[in-house]
Amino acid sequence: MAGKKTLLGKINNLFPTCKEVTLLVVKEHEMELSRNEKIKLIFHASMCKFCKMFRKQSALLNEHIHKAAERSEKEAPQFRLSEARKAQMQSELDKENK
Amino acid sequence: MLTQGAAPPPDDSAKPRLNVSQWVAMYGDCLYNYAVYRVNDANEAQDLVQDTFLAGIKAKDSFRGDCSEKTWLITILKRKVIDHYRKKGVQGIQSSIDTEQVAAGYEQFFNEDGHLENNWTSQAKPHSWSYSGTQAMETREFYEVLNRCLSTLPGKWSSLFRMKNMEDLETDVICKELNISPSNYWIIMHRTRLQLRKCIEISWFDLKK
Repeated sequence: MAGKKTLLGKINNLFPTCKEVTLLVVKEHEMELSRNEKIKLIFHASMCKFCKMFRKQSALLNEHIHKAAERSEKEAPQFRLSEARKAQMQSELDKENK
Repeated sequence: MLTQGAAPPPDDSAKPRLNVSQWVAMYGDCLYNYAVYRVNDANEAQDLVQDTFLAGIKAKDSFRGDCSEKTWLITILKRKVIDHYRKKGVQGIQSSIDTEQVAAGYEQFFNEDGHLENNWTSQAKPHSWSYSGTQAMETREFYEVLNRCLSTLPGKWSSLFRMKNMEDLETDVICKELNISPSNYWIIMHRTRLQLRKCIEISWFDLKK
């Protein structure tokens, strides 16, 4: 592997693989990337439409998963227990609550 | 479990009251809805709700009334859900073998050759997502598809993904709960997101074309 100081090393650093870049996209959701990583990511995504799409779609997925997690606490329940199950649960609780 | 002092206070007229006989009627659906979003199995979700109520009865002396009954029960359920993820995440194969398999599976997504051109494999390349499909991601149907996609992944992966993205747990907490190293965390998250994106594209966006 060529070191970072050599020309080849510099070129490799500027042209990461899609595998590397998608990992950077994943990390970007959770932490601040280093300056070097940011440059790699932005430079690559400006040329590779697939990684660019991966980045956009990952962000979209995140946004909707977060929204759904919030909704699940605040909305009127979309999923409901059957009346039979409720009755059974309450009778279990009454037994325990003596 | 919270243990209060040895003797309970003689006068509990000042204590906030829990209305256990109304719990299921008042909060059953809320808690169930919360659980279904997170475990994708009606029976397991029902068990979690039941366990939460029972744990609530056992811990009722610790209810101090500084939040509503509902919030208090959701807090208990939250912990139950995380325990559920942990159990699902640690059962099965040892993590070392797991990690090797995870690493090997990259071949289906990327070719090894070619730095200057993109190296996604033809089967894994992202396609653009339709406007109508993107709009419909707000719906419960989408959530059901997402859950189905997550359930095709190994338990450890889906647990890790849910703990991060639904429960908002810190990475080091997740590593501890699932007994994995930080570098394994990133490999698993990377593979999960690659696979999940593809599954959503096939099962949701093909449908919504």
